Amino acid sequence: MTTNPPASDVAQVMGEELAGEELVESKGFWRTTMQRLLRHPVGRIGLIIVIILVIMALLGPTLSPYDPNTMDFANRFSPPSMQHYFGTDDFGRDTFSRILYGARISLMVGVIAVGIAGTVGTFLGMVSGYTSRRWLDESIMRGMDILFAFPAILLAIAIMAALGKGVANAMIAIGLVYIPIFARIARGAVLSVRNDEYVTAARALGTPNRVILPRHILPNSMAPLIVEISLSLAFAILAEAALSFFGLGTQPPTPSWGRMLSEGRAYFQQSVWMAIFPGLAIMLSVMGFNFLGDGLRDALDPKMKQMLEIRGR
Amino acid sequence: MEDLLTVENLETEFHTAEGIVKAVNGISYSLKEGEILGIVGESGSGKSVSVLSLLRLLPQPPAYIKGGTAVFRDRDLLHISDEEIRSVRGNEIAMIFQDPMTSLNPVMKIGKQIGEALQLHLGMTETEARERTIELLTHVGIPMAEQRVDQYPHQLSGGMRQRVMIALGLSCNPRLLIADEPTTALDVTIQAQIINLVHNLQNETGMAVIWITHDLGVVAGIADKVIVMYAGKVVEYAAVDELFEDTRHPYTLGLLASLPEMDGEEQSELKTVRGSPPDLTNLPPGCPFAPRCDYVIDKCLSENPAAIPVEAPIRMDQNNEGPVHLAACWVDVRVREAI
Repeated sequence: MTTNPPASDVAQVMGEELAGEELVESKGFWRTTMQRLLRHPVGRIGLIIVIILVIMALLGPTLSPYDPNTMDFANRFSPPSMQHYFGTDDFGRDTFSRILYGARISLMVGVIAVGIAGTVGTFLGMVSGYTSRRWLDESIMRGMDILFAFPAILLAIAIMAALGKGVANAMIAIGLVYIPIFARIARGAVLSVRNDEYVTAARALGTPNRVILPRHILPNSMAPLIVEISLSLAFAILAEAALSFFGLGTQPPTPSWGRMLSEGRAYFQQSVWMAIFPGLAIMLSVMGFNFLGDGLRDALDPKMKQMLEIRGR
Repeated sequence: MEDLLTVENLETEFHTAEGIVKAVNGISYSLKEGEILGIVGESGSGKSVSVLSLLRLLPQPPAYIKGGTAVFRDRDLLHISDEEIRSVRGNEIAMIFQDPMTSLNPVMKIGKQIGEALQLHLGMTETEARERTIELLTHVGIPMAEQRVDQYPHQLSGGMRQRVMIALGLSCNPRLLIADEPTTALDVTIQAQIINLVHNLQNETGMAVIWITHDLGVVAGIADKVIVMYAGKVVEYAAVDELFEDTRHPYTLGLLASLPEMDGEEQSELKTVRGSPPDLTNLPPGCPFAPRCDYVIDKCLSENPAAIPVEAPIRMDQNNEGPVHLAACWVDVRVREAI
């Protein structure tokens, strides 16, 4: 044994050398991302639209002037006015109220469908990217390729045909269709971090895979997944509208944008507002989530981050 | 003292598109409780791969442990179940890595990362783990540990992070600490601090240490025994003073000659070992160092020498327990004659 002083003393002496290093404040991941997003011109617009949409969905019943399903035959096909902001439809129902209620359906279908796709897809993709068993990776990803080979809306229609009509089945169908996208993105993200040194370090500490995946790999692969969640919400809303347009999704009399658009189509010549307003609602919300996704992609990209910070000064 | 770890004929390969890379070609060594073993060699000599193989941390595929045994406390690490090796990792053998910038999870508070190991292996509750983490951080010389514990890795300097890694490594009182070039990415002054820290912690806990480095100066300062590796093989093995005083392998001589001299002539040229390391996908039949060797004889080109005890070493083992100095060379470098 050498004559070195006990470790704790040495550590203390060296600790004093380090005491000069100041504690650096951390702004936190979400706060910085939000700040960058607000500096992103398109992302900011997207965020505002999405917030409006969420408010509509949450407060729809309070905000709407009429019950969305009450028919008023005296006021069929009324054009937009101060009584009926967006006019009325062929049963005299208030289009504005129906659009507010429709936001709820659209958003609910979007969130649940993306929830299904995101959870299942991310799980499969992470397993596929992390496993060292080639056959497991291959079989998951080839399965995803099969799903991916069909055009999304066609596959959703086929699944609806098997499951039957209805909102719940629409959520499942849309969710299933978008699983491969999340699986691919998650797999790619996991592949890029699985051999990072902190993962090896965690393995060297004996951390089991069931802990490494959620605590070390997932948080470090989140950025592309967050972007994809936002973009997929746009697709899911569009898909729900399409399914309802074909009469497969939301069933009458529940207000749904796709269905309203389809009904309005029949009267397009005489009362154009019946189709225009639901169409605008679909377009704006899809655009909003797309913008938000673009903004988030830039806000989460280390290279773009700097640009947004410079712009912010 | 008992042998803590005995590695025999460890062979590790990588199966790549360019062919089979023979990274480790049958290395053997043993390590006693409380001993510090230095492993030196240039990049690609198989230093890291040899220890990563012990803990089975290499991604398989492409890596493939082809043969050998590594007995640690009566268990062969290379052949026990995945579950068993996981309970050895961190708990009995801990490892610290080269780059403290990348070996901590960037999105996890450092306290959480250390706490995770404590909860996992020692079954502590979150509160206990947090208290112990603060103790550990203080012990490795991190000031204001109560505040640091809630910080993210990017808020710490490189030296601090390596201290956190050491705290993480020591959290479960391992019997063996493997340090894979832990000071390579740090400033020289911080290097000295980290070396002292590990040395003192080793004195205190009595754990054994395998210290991988390419810096002979570091080895001289910390190790009891040294392995010199070249092309995945042990070319020389000796006690540290023995190695420096009575070098028996031309490669070790070359490494020593290439150290810059503090009192050398101004502007004097740095010596190098000429040539470059062999292609590990296509090793020559003879000694892999032969093409770069100043002592080469015909036999070197056809037959690969094994590491054998050298004749007349200066020192014997303290307990006179067999050979302490091995060299893999056909030539006695003292007299430039074939053995």
